Amino acid sequence: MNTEAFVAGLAEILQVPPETVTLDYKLDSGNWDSVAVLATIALIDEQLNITVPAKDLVSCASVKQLLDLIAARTDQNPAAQS
Amino acid sequence: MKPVRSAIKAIASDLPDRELTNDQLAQELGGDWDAAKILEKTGIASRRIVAPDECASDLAVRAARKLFAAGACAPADVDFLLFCTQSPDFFLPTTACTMQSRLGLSTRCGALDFNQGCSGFVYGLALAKSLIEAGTAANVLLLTGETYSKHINLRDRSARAIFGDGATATLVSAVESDEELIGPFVLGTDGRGGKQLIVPAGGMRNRHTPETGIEKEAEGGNWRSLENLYMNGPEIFNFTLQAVPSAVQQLLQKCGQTMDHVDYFVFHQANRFMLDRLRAKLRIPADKFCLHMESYGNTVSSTIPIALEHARAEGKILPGQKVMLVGFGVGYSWAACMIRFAT
Repeated sequence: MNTEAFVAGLAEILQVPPETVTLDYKLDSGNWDSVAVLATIALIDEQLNITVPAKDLVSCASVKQLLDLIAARTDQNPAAQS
Repeated sequence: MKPVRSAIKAIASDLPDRELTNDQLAQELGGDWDAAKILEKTGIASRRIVAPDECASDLAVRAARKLFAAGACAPADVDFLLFCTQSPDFFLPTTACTMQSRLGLSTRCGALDFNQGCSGFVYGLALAKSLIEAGTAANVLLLTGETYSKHINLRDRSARAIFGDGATATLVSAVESDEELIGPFVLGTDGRGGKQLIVPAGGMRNRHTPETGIEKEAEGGNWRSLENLYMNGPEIFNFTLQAVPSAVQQLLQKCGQTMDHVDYFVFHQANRFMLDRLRAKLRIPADKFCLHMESYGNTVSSTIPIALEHARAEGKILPGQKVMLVGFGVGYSWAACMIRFAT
């Protein structure tokens, strides 16, 4: 995946500057509410064409956990990235 | 002689008088949501909510009377009544049977309720088409009516921001036509998603007890009891992103056509956020895609007929044009079809 584009999208969802969204950025420190989760589902669908179980997404505490979750799902759906 | 086909002859709707605006919601519920943010995130500015003594059937009866008053047909001409609701008046009798006498329909009229949500209008068209083209009925009155406000806890701000009450009446009649005016259909079901949008208690599986009525705090500061509507928004969004594009492709395949052949798309008006994503994913041009929920919210089985009638009144749908309808949601259940208004 294009991590840079994904993080830029995530920063927009969280309404924070992109440079603040580092791997250990704490998602619950800002706007990680139900609307942000919906927007992230849309972002993942748009950029990677995969779905991530909502309960796993909600329980992500950091950006690293979120990227790991997506990477694990992408491995399960290698064809989905085209 | 041309073959007998089913066709949509007329649509009417009825909404409760009482309005619930974003300002009222923000004021009542507090927190970090203001009216502008609710509009931005949902595309909904206001919803209509029934009075405590007002039922879905009352709205649907009023919608049907508007249809008769507009001259669509006489009550005596209706030979089948279908009522789609998840807010029936009673466990029994069937609400449609009580509506037969309220509307002054013939006693030779068939009547039944069917329990579907956001896919319900398209399912209703599939049933009406089958009744008509099999020769069982000639004029089917398809009613949709929903009062989710009665299922939703007053302190569930997420659900209250989305759903509004409303009803519609559609007359589907037999006509002679060389071309199919309703259909083909793609229908689908995945019961594994049932728990994601559910009123868990109050039916026969989990009957009402004092415990089922206890309100508890849930995710995002929303409150509800087991007798209230529960909606897992993110999981339903996931389902929608999979099911809707797939249903659209299956329907096009069944028609032997491509997206470019479709003149206008009317999807279930769930919320603007979801529809924006679906439209982008399916690459549908904005001017061919209906967005019409700002003043009503998500009225469940009534969103498609309300939007369809609005688009027709605005001149966005002309007679003979190919229109794709797609309903999706609670169940999980989904349904897509093509329709055309007769020229």
